[in-house]
Amino acid sequence: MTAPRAMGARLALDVSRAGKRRRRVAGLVLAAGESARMGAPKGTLDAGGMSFAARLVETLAQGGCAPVFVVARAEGGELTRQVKAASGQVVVNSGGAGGQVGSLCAGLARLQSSVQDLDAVVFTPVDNPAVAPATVEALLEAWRRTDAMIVVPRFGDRRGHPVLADMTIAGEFCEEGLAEGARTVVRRDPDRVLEVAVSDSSVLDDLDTPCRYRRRFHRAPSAADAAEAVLEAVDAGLRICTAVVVECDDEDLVGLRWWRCGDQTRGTLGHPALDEAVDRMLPEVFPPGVASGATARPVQFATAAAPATATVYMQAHGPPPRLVIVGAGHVAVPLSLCGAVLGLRVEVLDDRPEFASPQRFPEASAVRVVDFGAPFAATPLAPADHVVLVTRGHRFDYECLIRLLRMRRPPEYIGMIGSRRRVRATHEQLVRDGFEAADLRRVRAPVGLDLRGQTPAEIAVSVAAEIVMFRNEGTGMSLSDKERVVERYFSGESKRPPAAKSSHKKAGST
Amino acid sequence: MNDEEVSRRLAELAEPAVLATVVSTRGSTPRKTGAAMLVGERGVLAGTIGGGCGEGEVLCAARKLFEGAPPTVVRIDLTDDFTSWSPAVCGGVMNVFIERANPWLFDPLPERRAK
Repeated sequence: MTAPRAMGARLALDVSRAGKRRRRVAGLVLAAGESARMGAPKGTLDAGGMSFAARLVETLAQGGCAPVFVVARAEGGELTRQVKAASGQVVVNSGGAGGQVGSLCAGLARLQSSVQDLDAVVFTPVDNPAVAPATVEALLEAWRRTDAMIVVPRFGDRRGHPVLADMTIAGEFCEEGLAEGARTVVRRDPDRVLEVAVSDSSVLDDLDTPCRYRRRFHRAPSAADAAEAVLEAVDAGLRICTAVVVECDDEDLVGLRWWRCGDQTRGTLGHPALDEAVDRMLPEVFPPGVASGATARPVQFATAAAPATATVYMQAHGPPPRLVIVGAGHVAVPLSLCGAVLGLRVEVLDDRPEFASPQRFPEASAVRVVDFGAPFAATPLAPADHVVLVTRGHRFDYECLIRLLRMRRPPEYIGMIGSRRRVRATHEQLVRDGFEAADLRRVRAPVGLDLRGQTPAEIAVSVAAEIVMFRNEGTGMSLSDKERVVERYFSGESKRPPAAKSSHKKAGST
Repeated sequence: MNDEEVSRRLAELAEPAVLATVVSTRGSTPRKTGAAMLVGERGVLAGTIGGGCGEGEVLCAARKLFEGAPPTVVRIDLTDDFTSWSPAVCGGVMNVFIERANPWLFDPLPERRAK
């Protein structure tokens, strides 16, 4: 905690009272409210292992207050039990009469009649239960050092609770017609008020809604919780849809999260109607076949008070598609690297253990020794996966290819390496084996974009580039040729743009 | 593609961090909706939302979250006049949501003291 700091109060030290300053300070927790916005009695809510009220009783006691009283709506019940277990005492303000200041007055009256030589009281509403004992200590310490009648904690530029009041002014809280309750008394005479700057943001807590409560006590799933759930789902091969409120008239909702994975949901966007509205939108926003995607949508939902709108950012996270490289030879090594860099889950298959070794492919998720008669037995393929056939012989490529083409839902990207002649020979064999032109067209052979690559690395880049193009539905053209900025905007002026087919790359190109 | 890396880093992170997510874009922007960046107290920890000026603005806004500001959407306008040679001339607008990614590391609840 920060050291207490006097702010602006110019107080004449009353020497006759100075000796009394180490006297008794009691604590008072105001828990007689209706908890209408919370929907459940606040005093008995769990605040990290103990109830709001019990936690405050302990905090005030540890900060130097004795005894500590809790003002309740009624005698008995769970609140009384918890307060007594924390060594506090209960004062009843029946039904919370007179609101918060009514409860404060009832508590002060009880303290005055039952505690002798009481010099001050530290009071707090029950809805900032996370305040630290050191904050209470700082209030007492500031009061003892000075002649302030009222000491309030300040975090940043805002005043919070608990508040210390000297018993000499306690009667003011019981006056009739306090327009703003206790605040009216505190603001009445700035010269008798001392502000203490604290580093405990809990002094500003006003946990009177479920959203604020969840957020303060970390019951609202965070981005980190969502990240963990996403990884767990994706690693298990499942799709998960997450949602977070990014804008809303009710600012308490902003940042709240909810997600669905299969039948399981977790978290809340702050309102059951909003959760339901988002859940209903998911199948339209992310159709079942769509593995991943992201969008922000306005969502209407009905609250008890009025219809409301929130902007909800939704994201579907599916397992990343695979790049299955069949054949662990020279091209496979750089291609595996490219796939990993692109975020694909790389699997490398070969029938030769000395090639299909994890040491050759450290970045691959799986390296398998397979029989080319059933190469995909351990690799169930989905349409979103990518398969590249680069085995050491086109006989093996062909064997793998026919197994791919016979799948009920084959991968959408199937590439096969080879010269024009070799590809033609494979296609002729496919036709002889009863495959049709449509099947032949499903195979990208020769695989890759035309980069005139020769080395394994160049070939790998050309294949990887084609995969990126395929995934993004790109053209594979040079962007300069596609955008033709010079032709579009500068052709009329001075130089003519170069023709689309330039002649400058005959020599030295790879 | 680096967004899975952001998730992995975030799931195991032991220091407070702000998550910045591109939630919508208009026009030409360096990264699209879904791009994410993780920002620690000393700078970027993982991911990118496109670099340059826009990222700088988000880093400034993220700093405020370390100081207690609430989560918010930062609007990054990349439609500067390109003759200014500003790095922010992609031509579009990005809305970036920033939030405390692991709130319990910012603001730990005071532990119950043993009596």
